[in-house]
This record gives sequence, C-alpha cells and structure tokens, in this order.
Amino acid sequence: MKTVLKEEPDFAKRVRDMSGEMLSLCYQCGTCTASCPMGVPVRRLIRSSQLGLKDFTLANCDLWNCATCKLCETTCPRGVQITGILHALRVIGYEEKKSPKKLDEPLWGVYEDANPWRGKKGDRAKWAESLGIKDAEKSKAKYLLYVGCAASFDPRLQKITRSLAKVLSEADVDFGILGEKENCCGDVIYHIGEEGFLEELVQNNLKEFEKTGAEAVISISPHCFNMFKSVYPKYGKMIPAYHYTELLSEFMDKDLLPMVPSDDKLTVTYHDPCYLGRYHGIYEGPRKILEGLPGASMTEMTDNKSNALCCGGGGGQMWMESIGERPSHQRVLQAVDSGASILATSCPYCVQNFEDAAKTKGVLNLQVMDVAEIVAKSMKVEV
Amino acid sequence: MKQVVCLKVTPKIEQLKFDEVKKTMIREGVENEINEADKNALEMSLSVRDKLGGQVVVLSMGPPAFDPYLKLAIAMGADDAILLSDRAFAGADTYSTSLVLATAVKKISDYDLIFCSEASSDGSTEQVSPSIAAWLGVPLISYVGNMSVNDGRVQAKRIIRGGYEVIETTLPALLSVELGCNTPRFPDFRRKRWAEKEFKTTVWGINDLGLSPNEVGLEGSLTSVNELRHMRSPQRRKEFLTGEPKQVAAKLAEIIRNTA
Amino acid sequence: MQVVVEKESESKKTGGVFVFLEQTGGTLETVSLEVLGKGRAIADQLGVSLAGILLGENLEEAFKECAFRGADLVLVGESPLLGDFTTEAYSKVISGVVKEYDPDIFLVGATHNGTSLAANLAIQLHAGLMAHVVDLDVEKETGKLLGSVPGFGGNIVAVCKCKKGRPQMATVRPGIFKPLPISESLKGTVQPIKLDALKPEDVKCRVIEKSVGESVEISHAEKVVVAGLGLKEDMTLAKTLAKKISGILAVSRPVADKGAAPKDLVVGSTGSSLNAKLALVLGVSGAAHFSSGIRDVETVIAINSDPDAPIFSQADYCVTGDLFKIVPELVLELESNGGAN
Repeated sequence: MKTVLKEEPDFAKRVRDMSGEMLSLCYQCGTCTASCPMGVPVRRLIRSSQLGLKDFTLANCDLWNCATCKLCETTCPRGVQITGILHALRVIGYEEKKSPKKLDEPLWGVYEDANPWRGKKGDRAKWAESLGIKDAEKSKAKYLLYVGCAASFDPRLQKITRSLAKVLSEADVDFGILGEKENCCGDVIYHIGEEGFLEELVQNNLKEFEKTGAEAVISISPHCFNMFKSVYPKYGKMIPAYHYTELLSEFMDKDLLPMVPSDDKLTVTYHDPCYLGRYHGIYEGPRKILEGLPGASMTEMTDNKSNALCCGGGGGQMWMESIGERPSHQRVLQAVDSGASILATSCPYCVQNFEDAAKTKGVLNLQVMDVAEIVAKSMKVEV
Repeated sequence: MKQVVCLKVTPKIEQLKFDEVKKTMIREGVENEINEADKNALEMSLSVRDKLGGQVVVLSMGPPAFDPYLKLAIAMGADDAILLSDRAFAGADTYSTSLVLATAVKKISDYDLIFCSEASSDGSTEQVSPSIAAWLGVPLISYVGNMSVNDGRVQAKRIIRGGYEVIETTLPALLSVELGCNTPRFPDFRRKRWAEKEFKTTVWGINDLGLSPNEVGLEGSLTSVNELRHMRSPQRRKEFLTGEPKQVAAKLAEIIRNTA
Repeated sequence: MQVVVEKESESKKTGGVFVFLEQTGGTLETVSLEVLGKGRAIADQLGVSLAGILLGENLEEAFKECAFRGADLVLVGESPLLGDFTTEAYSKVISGVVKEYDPDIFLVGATHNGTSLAANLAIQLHAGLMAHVVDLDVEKETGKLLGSVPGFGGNIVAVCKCKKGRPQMATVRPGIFKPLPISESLKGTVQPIKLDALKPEDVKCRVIEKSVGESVEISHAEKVVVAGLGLKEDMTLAKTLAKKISGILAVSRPVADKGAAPKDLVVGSTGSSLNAKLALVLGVSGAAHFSSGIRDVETVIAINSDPDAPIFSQADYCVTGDLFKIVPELVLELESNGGAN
C-alpha cells in the first residue's frame, strides 16, 4: 500500500516569495543539519518545501526547535539564507494552527502585559527606582535606552540594566527611558510566525519612538536591536538603532569611560551572541571594550566569532522545553577550557542560559557576566 | 452542537488599590482583561467545536465597555457574542447575576453544553456556575481539567484531593472549568479586525430577558455588603539574617529548633 | 460512648443553625468539623440549636463522631444513591430537610463539593449565600449573620450579610476555625432522614473512574515547607527539608500551574490557608494571592534571592540569598544536631 504525500504547488511558491529565497539553490548537501546546535533537520525541511509538501513539512515539529542562530547559513556552501525559509515555514505553520500550543502563552503575555514573561506592567520600571533617569515621553533626550522585557523584569538581569544605566550616566550620555510605557519589541512574536498582532505592536512602537524625539534607540538585548534594525524599517519610519556595545566601544576609543586602575586580574573570554555576531557582524567592538579594562586579559573559546556556539535561547526557545543537552552546556565547558574565570557576553538570554548551564554542569569557578556589568565593575560604579 | 460560554471581564487585580479613607476599591485607570479562567473555558469549548462542529456563543453580563472583550472572544474563534447590558443589572450578587445569565441561556435555547470558569479573579466566589446550573435544572460537573463528548454524553476529569475522578453525565450539561487547565488560543488578528469593523454584538437588556427590576441587579440581590476592609495583617518581625550560607543556616536551624 | 439513634419523630420547624457535614469514604472532612465548631459558637450566641446533615453510605463511624462534636441533632441520610457526592441528589435531599426544619442559618465547608452544593441550594431555596468566608459573626442590632468574604486577590474582605431570603447561607474556607474536641458533654441525638423521595434518576452524574492516593490536608500541618518558583520546579530540596523538620511540603500557585506539584498542595487564596506553627517559605515572591495563605502561621521564615520580594514584609525571619546554597547547609545543620522534632 503506497502512502501518497500531497503536493501543493502554491506552498513552495509562497515559501519562496516570503523568504525571497531561491529554494532551488539548496542542493541537499546536509551541511546545515550537521552544523545545527539544536538538532533541527534543516535539510529535510527545505527538501520537503522544495517538493511542495505543505502538510508533511508543517507536521515536522522540529521546525519549532530552531534557535534562529544562523550557524547553518555560515556553513551553507551555497549561501542560502536558511533562517528566512524557516521563518516563512513558521508563518505558514502559525496560520495553519500547527505551531506549538505553549507558544500562545508569550503571545498573550505581550498582548495583555506588554511582555512575554507575565510580569506586571507596574513593575516594568522598578529597576530604575531612585536612579533619576529621564522619562523619554516627558523630556527629550538624545538617546532612547530601550531596556527590553527580560532585562526589565528578571531580578538577575536587572543588574545588567542598572549597570548600563549607571555607566551611561557616568559618561554623561543624554538618555531617557519609556519606563512603564515600554512595550515588548515583538521579537518572540516575530519568531512564532504571528503577523497580525506583530504589525499592530510594531506600528505602536514606531509612534512611541517618534514621539520621544530621540535621535536613536539603544538596546540592551541583541534581539531587540535586531528587531529595530532589520524588521521595524519594513513597517515604517524607524530611528537609527544601536546595540549598547557599539556606543561603549566608541566611548572606549574616546576615553570617555573613567576606569579605576586595579590590581585585580580578570581572565575573560567573550561569547559572541548570535544576534550581534552572525546577524550584524559585531565581533570586535565588545572585545575592544573588554581589552580596555584594567587588569583584563582575553582568551578565546573554540568556536568563536562567526562560528560561535549558540546558547540555544533565540527563536522562541526560551519558552520551549529543552530536548536533552542544550548547546549552552557545551559552551560553558568551552569557557572553562579556555582558562577564563569570566564568561562575558552581551545578551540577556545568553547570560541566563549560561548561568543555568553552569549550575547544571556543576561548573563553580566560572562567572557569567554581561559586558555592561564588567564595565561598571571596572569603573567602580555602585549598582 | 451548540455551546454557550459565560465570560466575565475583570479588572487587573495588581492595579487595583484600596482607598483606606472611603473604604472602596479605586477603579479609575485600572485596565481590564477577560477573566483568565474564562479563557480556559472558551478554549475548552472551541476544542469541542473543532472536533464536533457546531456553534460557540459567548455570553457576558456587563456595561457596553465590555464589548471589545467579546470581540476578542470572537477573534479567538467564537461564532457569536451576546452582551447582557442594562443599568438594572448593576450591583448584582451571585444570585441575581446567575439569574440574568441563566435567563439568557434559556433564551439562546437548544444548547448542548454550557461552559463557565470555576471562578473569577475578582470575586472568586465560585458560585455563579453552579447557580446557573441550578436555575436551568441541568447537571453540573465542576472544576473540570479536561473532557470529551461521546454520543450525547460528556465525560470530564476533575482533580480531587489526593487524585482525580472522571464524571459522566448526559447533555445538556454545565461544566465549570479549572483555571490554567489548558492554553487558550491567541486571537486571530485578521478576524479581530473584521470583528471590530463588521461584527455586531447582540445586546439584551432587562426587557429582552423578560425579567423585572426587583429580580435583577442590586434589587434582586439576596446578599449585601456592609463594608470593605483590609485583611488584618499579622505583626511580623521582618528580621533579616545575614552572613555566609553556613552561618545563616546555623541561625535558621536554631530558630527551627526553638519553634518545635 | 453510646449514640442514641432516635426513631423519626414528628418533624417540626426548629430554626437554628444547620451545618452540612461532608464525608469522603466514611471519613468526615475536617472543614465540616471546623464549621460545626463555629456553628456551636454562633448557635450559643443566638440561643438556638445546632444541627448537622450527613449524607452518604456506610456512615456509622462518621455520625458517631459528629454527634459528639457539638451538634444537638445529627440528621443522617444513608443510601447507595448518595454513595458518591453528586450536587443534584445531595441538594434534593438537603433542600427537603431545610424546608422541613426551616433553619435560620445554613453553613457549608467550602470544599469543591461544598461550594457547588451550597450554590445549588441557595438557588433552590432562594437564599442569600456568602462565599468562602474567613470570619463569621452575629450583627448585634439584628442578630443577622455577618460573613467576611475575601476578594480582589485576597487582601480585601467584604463584610456581608443576607438581606433577603432564608436560611442565611455561607460557605466557610477550610483552616479558619477549630473543631471542638470529641466530648461526652457535647452529645447530640442522631435521626435518620426519610429518603423515599430520592430516586435513581435524581443522580445525574456518575463517577466512572477514580484514583486517589495518599493525601494531606496542608491547612492542618504543624510545620510546612512552601516551595515557590525560586526552586525552579524541582521539589527534591524542599521535600528533603520538609522531612528534616518533620513537616510537609506545600507549594505556591505557579508551581502547581507548571505541573511540578499537585493542586491540593497550593497555599493561598486559590488554595488553602496554613495554620502551622512554622512555615519555611522558599523562593516565593509573596504576591497578594499568596499572603492570605500564611497569615495565620506563627513563625514564617522566608528565603528569596530578590531583596525586594514582597514576602519579606510577611515574614518573621528573612534571608536574601541563593536557595541552592543555603538550604543544603540548613539540611546539614539540622542533621548534625538530631533534626527538629
């Protein structure tokens, strides 16, 4: 008895149109699947899409394990923009109600509480209490510091936010925050493939940003940064977007960050977050900042820069159950192997995942810190 | 298969403040939401419709300001929405609230299943759903976690102390649904935009339900509120213990031994 | 102790306070005994009698017990049709009893079954019903029952009364009142309820499957370890500590919602209130819906990594730190000095 798979010619066309990719570029070498840190059978997903097998493709729930890290794109010999294709599959998958049920929870969270973590709106700016930061809606400031949801609500990650806010104040940067009015950047919505609510959210944010009169928006999370830089301009007029390491690196160059000399020796290794590195080519800036800190010596892990091993947090993975060993487990062991005592990074998801991984793996002598925290420490700024 | 889902729009509890002087709840500026457990009830109903077909009607008693939330329920997939709105309905306790809702369900007629939440996040009485069942004379299965319909009978699983039980009854029946027992589906925003532009919520007032003023709202209530009070908080020491984990642990162990 | 079972006499309207006595498998629910205890106090305040209604199957032990816990009269309805609790059948019998005896007040313990039953009865009898009261009192001027009904997440109570209807009804939250101890001096009479009117078709719901394991009423534990999300859904550490202090494990609502523990272990406004001597609250932030659950604990110790967690304003001893470092040390300390018993 033959099992016949249904071919839908429009499906392949739709995936091509949405991703802007020539699906036929992929010649099925399988290097993508081999390099995927999340175990997604990338080759098979593209193959079944090429063949127009909509139901078969969307029935593959591994599609939802992709962390959108772009490692597959780095290794693809034909330069296929694979994340674009997978994104198209997720959009169609969401439409057809084939997305994992649990991903409806962060969507509701953003819709009702302006964040996917079910934090209460009134608590969003608690981290800023007594710091006297400008309200961007009321007083015009040069920069809008966009904090993001994780860095606003999570007590551990709030340390990063406070560190950065204080560093910026010390450097006399004119910045303001939206505080309780800040709404999610929409990164998780985008990666779940929902487009209706995303459009409303982005349009509202674009209006809010314009109202502040700020020249540019600075993000703490590379995920927010990527949304503002790459996705928002598709919806309307968006002010320039930077990741905070770009600013701090500039300040390092201009000697605007008063460092306090120290006898402390810091052996630091830097993990390149996917959304800074592979997405936007930002590799040197954060390293320059770290190298400029008193007492710091840098080491490199295996799989660094464009080969950096993803922490497994992007693409909605923070809401998915982990399937056995996460790549973050391997990464913290690489950090230990590099001889570093500090694993530095510049993404809140990476910080969370590496701290969890260090606990799980029983790694005791490795401190996970965000670049902003290390800078604040070197400036002897109280956080 | 016709299903009715009762919905309540509740204030976001964390935004409510208690006016110590006036002894009332301050409701200005407080955002509303669909009562979370009602979303679970609606999801359960929609899942039944996905399998067995038919219609899901959402029903809510409240002011016209509730309409956007009924449209949100339409966007989630409900087929029709009815708002029971009338000044006479205001100030109702669970008795008169349940009477109004039950009368509306009777008017909808020919229903197979009625879904309610186990409780609303503000009042939390857990009384409205069993009261509606009593008015209608339909069997009640309460605190349902999941269920299925087969051959005109419904089987529902509920948690009981130490375990669970599965109850069966014939249709029509009323099920009250446990908070958090499922993941409510996120609204379809294209459908939401259509609902906001094109869909007309049916509004029934006291005359449409054939009720009289002394049966509904404050007048029809059998209970009344004397006053609102802050719960007395016990005096706590709030003593912070500091030190290395080992030191703190030693101090805690001492305290534990002394309370034995 | 001898229980006198009287032959059914001419029924008469007695007024007074009536209490629904819920039993499962022949064992009385503790909340029913708590309500009976408070019912006694209210009956005494009003100078009226107290009666209990007990329904089920094979109830010999159960009604023997409640006859010595404060009720003047215990009305017992035994039938296979009442073997499992069903709202409709129980309600039919009880509404008949209530119409016959015409009590002033009818109290029910706010278990799931009790809540469904009370609401059904309230509609059938057209009676006012106050929900989950955390306090009961008598209004001096009117002799009317006052019930404190919690709402809005648990920190606010509305002091309510039944302005119309009869009887005045209330469901009572478990763990609020204390049962009276069994005593000869509290002996009441036991009378059977005539169940002729009860037919098989009155039982609308059938239990087709049931699975019950060991269970604990957390509201009666002396020592409790309450586990919150700070323990990251792993209950091992909390269970170990609970064992070391000879206490039991309870959880905050979000932990049960994540499936890391059964819902009957939940502390708070959607769960149970603790009456423990000692509660160790680990990794719980202490939001409003939780705080009502530990209000009556004598000594509260709270450990949380967030120095601004609201729990610290509800605790006697506060520790800011890493649970995974402190709790293992605490377990060691308790072990080395023979634990706490």
